[in-house]
Amino acid sequence: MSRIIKDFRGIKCPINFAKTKIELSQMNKDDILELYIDDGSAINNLPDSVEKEGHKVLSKEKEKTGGWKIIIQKN
Amino acid sequence: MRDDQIERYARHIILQDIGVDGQLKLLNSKVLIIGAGGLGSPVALYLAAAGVGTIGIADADKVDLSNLQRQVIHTTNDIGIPKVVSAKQKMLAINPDIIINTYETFINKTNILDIIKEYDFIIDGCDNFATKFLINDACVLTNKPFSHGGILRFSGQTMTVLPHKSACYACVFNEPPPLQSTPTCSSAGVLGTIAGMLGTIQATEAIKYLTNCGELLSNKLLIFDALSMDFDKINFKKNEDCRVCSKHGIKELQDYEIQECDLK
Repeated sequence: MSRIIKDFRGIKCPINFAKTKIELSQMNKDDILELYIDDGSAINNLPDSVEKEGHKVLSKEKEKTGGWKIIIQKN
Repeated sequence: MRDDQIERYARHIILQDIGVDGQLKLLNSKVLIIGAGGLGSPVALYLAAAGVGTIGIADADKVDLSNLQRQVIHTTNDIGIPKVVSAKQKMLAINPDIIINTYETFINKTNILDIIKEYDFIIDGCDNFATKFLINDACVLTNKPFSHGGILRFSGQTMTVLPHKSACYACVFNEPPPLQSTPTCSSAGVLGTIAGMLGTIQATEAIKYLTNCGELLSNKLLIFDALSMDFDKINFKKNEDCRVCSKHGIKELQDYEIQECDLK
């Protein structure tokens, strides 16, 4: 099981979600994606969209450096 | 996929039924559009925008002022230049990431097999019954899926043919209507917008076939009347005695008699 870290802060919706989908498509089942995204529409939409695709959002934490860290487990 | 491609195709990639895989399939696909007129225009624009990696476009005509009311890929500045040249310029302006092959020729029984052979899906966007039946015959012989489309006045019809799996154009219509029964050019008006309505459906069918999503208009003829805005689907079955696609069907191509029209 591997862990990939991606910082998509500053990338607007829905490009950040398209990039997230591409990262997940290249990972194996149960791998972890540690993702950094912006506050606002990104955190309000992206985790739900990821779950609708069948993946698991394990946690969402506000980052001191701005934005959010979300942990996704690939299905 | 490159960053600029991710951004260009983001609205496809985030669709669950298309996604990354579907967009990659489109980028690796080849579609041939026969006719750069009313139907071919929207098909060419949307397939170029969608990132279909290789698009062929065949048409022998030059752009004429009377085309511009419905053939939206061409502009007033293009009058007099070959339609395939005009179409290629617009498609590459939308998406420089794709390859466009042009065939400035009339499609007939001697050149069609060679032209369609490298493509995954064919669009019938031609304006006469002779070529429509020839496209059907060639696609049946070479097992190429295609979208039939036709428009007249305020109505349109389309079906998607998966040769030997679903009804072909000849299963449904058998053969071209007698020449004197078809509308002459002077009586056959067409509302420009229905070319966009029908061509856009054909482009959608091509994308659905290439990405393997949804249900195709195979064994179904979709007809619409823009005056009442009624859409109907008529179910058909493959005709086991079809003169083209049954086991007693055609073994070689024929040219059908074309209706001459001098009115432009």
